[in-house]
Amino acid sequence: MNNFNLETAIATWRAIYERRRVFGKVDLDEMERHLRDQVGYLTDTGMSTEDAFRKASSEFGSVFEAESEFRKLFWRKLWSERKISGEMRWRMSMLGRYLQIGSRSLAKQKVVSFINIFGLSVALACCICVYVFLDSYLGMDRFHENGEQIYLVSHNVVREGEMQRWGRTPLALAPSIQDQIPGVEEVVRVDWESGRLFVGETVFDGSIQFVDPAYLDVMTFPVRSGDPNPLSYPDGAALTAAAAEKYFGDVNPVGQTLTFTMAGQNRVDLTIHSVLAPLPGASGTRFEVLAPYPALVSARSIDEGNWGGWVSGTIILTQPGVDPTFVVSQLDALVGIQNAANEDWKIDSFFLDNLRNPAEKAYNISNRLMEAPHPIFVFMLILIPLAMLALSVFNYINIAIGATERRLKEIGIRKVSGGVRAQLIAQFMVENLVLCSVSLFIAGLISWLFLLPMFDELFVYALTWAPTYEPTFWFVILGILLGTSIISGAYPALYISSLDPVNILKGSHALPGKRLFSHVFLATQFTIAFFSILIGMFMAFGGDFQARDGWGYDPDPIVVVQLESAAQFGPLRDTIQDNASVSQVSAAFHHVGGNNSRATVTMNGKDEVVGRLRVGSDYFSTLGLNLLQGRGFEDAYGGDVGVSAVVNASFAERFGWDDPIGQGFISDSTSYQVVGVVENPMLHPIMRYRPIFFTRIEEDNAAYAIVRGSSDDSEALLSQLRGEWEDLYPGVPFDAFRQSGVFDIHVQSWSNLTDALTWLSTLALIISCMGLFGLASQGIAARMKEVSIRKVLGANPAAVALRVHIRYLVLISVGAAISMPVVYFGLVALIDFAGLYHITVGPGVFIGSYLIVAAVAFISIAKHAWLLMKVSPAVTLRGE
Amino acid sequence: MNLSRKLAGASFKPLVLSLLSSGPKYGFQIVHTIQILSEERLHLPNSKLYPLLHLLEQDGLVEAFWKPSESGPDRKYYRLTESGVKSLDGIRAEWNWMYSMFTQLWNGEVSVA
Repeated sequence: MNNFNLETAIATWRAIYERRRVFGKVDLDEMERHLRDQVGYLTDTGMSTEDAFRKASSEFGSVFEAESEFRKLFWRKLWSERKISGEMRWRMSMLGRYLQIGSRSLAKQKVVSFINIFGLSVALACCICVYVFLDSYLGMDRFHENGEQIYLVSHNVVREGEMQRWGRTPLALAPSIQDQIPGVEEVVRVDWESGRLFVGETVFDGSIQFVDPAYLDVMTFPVRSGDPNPLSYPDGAALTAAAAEKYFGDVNPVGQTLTFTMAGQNRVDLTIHSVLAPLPGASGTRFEVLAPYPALVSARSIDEGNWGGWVSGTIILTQPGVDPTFVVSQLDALVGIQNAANEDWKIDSFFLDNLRNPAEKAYNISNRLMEAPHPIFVFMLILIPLAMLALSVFNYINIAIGATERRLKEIGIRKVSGGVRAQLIAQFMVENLVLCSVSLFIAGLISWLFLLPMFDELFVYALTWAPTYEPTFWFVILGILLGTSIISGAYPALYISSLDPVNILKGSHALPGKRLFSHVFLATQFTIAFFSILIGMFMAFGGDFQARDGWGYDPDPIVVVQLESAAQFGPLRDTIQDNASVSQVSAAFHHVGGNNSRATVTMNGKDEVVGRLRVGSDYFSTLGLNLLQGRGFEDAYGGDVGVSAVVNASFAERFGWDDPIGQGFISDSTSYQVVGVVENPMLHPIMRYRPIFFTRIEEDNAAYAIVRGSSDDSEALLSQLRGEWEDLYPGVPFDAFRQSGVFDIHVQSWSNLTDALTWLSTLALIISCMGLFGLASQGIAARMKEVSIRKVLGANPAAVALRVHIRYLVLISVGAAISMPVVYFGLVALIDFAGLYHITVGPGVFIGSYLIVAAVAFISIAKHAWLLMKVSPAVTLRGE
Repeated sequence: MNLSRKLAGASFKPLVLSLLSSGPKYGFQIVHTIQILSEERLHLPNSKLYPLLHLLEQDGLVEAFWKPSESGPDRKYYRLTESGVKSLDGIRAEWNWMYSMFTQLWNGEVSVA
């Protein structure tokens, strides 16, 4: 009996079209009438009603084709029928519905949601921090109002056969510009001086930026309190807000005095007239104290018209509309004067480096007065959040596709009941958007509460983060949110929505390519995790420099007293040298680990820039620095000042001397003869040994008193010296340190950096392993039956669990194989390029990092392996 | 011989307007007449017919009206408007010109220099 009912068939046919929003009721009425007409025509030709309906509906074409054609007209029709607002309301309600489904889905799959949200939050927090940092870093010194007209005068010079760019300028340049070059409104000399700052009884190591009084008119450093023109006073000084707090605490610094001594030689007494307001943005110049340049001129008796001397930099402010090339052409006229006065440093040409639009590769200008952003640094910084983001996105994709198994029925039913592919895509994308939004919110909290303060501490730049005033910031955040949502959600959404509902509901679905993608993503994740762990381990091992290379002497018995004036040395030595706890005392102007100067050494027509330390007699024996050949500067030899030099082993090596004793070289127009060679002393805990030479000074140039104790108890020696100093110089602050702590600041910086990298690599490993955990959880249900059957057939449970998880070990090994050589050779090249220590880390680091990753990965999947081992075939296969 | 997709696509609008020039017609009538005229070599799919009719309606070239039917629900008829008539004149001139050009070419009445 034929049960076909035409009305029911037409109603069913129409219902399929009704689910598509592009077809209005009138359209459907019209199309239904068409179908009925065609059925009527076909039955008139003798066909049965059922066959006629089948043929007519078939000839009508697919709903997808009709939908696609009607969609082209959809918005135009809505517009002409004034139904746009209704459509928008509907779409918003659908969005609300998707959001609801998305939130429910997040709440339902707690472990998976946690893994995704944790990874994305950390990655997005990194993005926010790096954005905030780069925004400050790349916008360096943009806040100066006259930035377009402010130029740093710099010069080109040919050294060692290549054109170099330098930021320091001849001493006499500024007055010459002022007198001879029209179009320049202001000229400012800037000179950095390091030394000690005495505030009452307290001594600080610090530096002062001496500048001409017009500096605060040229640059935009607003005064927060005190006199608006602090530099107009001969002894006037201005402090930054941070320096005011550092040196004076809660006391108002305005009106207070501050004494500055440079290497125990020159003294400048200053009165604080103002405190500057916090900078409105990051600046490449980082001074704490500003003081008038004339104060330095009188303290040092500087000849301001000397073309042979140097200042750290010269800044000019041009008049509005003045072409900088005109100023450069005028500067060229001064090149001859400079070169005539300075035979050792013949300038090729001057050039101007604008503050707002710096010279090309400004970061390469040696001794540039203000730091310029370095692209490698920017690149490295961007790489970190991108790597983290990649880890999290891969996690999301892997887990989302893995979760398909659980949602297959939902997808099948949605499709069968009329859900179109676009709706499914929209639903999955909105679910992902919900997840990304939650992550972004948490990321904001993480960065605000933890990462930004950490960044602020790690780097010296003041981060200026005021998101409420920065529309760009919110655009970037929105971009990151949408970008992450689309990148992470697109593939799973397209993949899931493409599944065939018939196969899904029949239970014969195939997920082609799923495993391959998962494996590629997982291997990539572990490659990234290995990268970060290896770099972290190299930093940690590379930072163990002191244990590896040694100091070149024993620092434990040494205490170094910093003198306010050279005249303090003689009485101090006379007072302490008979003390039983003091074995030897020596004077020095520079000191190993403390400070040294750079000098150009000329030999056989070749220039080399090396380190130079000026030390007193018995310096080497006081320090305990091993003499490899020749002698030191003992009084017994006499006459060493200005003629003799002691070099380190690295110096002799650089110049290729087999027998350095008796060799000669020229530095600062003085000829020196090498009388001794010492073992390489550590000058910096991270940098490689550098060539240095020592020259002899008399006691009247002493800036340090080097005291060798008779035991290693330098703490007791320090305390004893303090007592004797206070008796000798009552009211003068005692300023001394133990030599063993001379590198503490560097070690701390390195340790901070290592800590930050260790954190990052730990996070990368956690995110990767969470992805592994998520993937293993998704796959376990599918594996239960397989394992159960194997067990029934007599397989060993442990072997089965191992077999299931062995692929993860393979993936980890692939990650290791890719990352290890890249990291090793990359780091060797980078560290060699940067002039750091050579890497001497052996295979331990590689084996160690592999074992760490494998162990953490094993822990991540151990639960699943255990479940598989314990699975009961009776339970699993009961339903089969 | 079936028409190429592009040529068929280009001919739908002139065909529909031309058919409507002889009086109001409903969707099935239009499709059915084209099939008979083309001896089943040209098929105007319904998925294209109705969007085309609606577009012509929005452009003011045709207007629609519902008319009761003796057999079943009402039918929606389309007829040419004045603009539709003018548009058809223009289209007809274009196709005639094209036809005459090809005729001359293929009859060897034009020698190419």
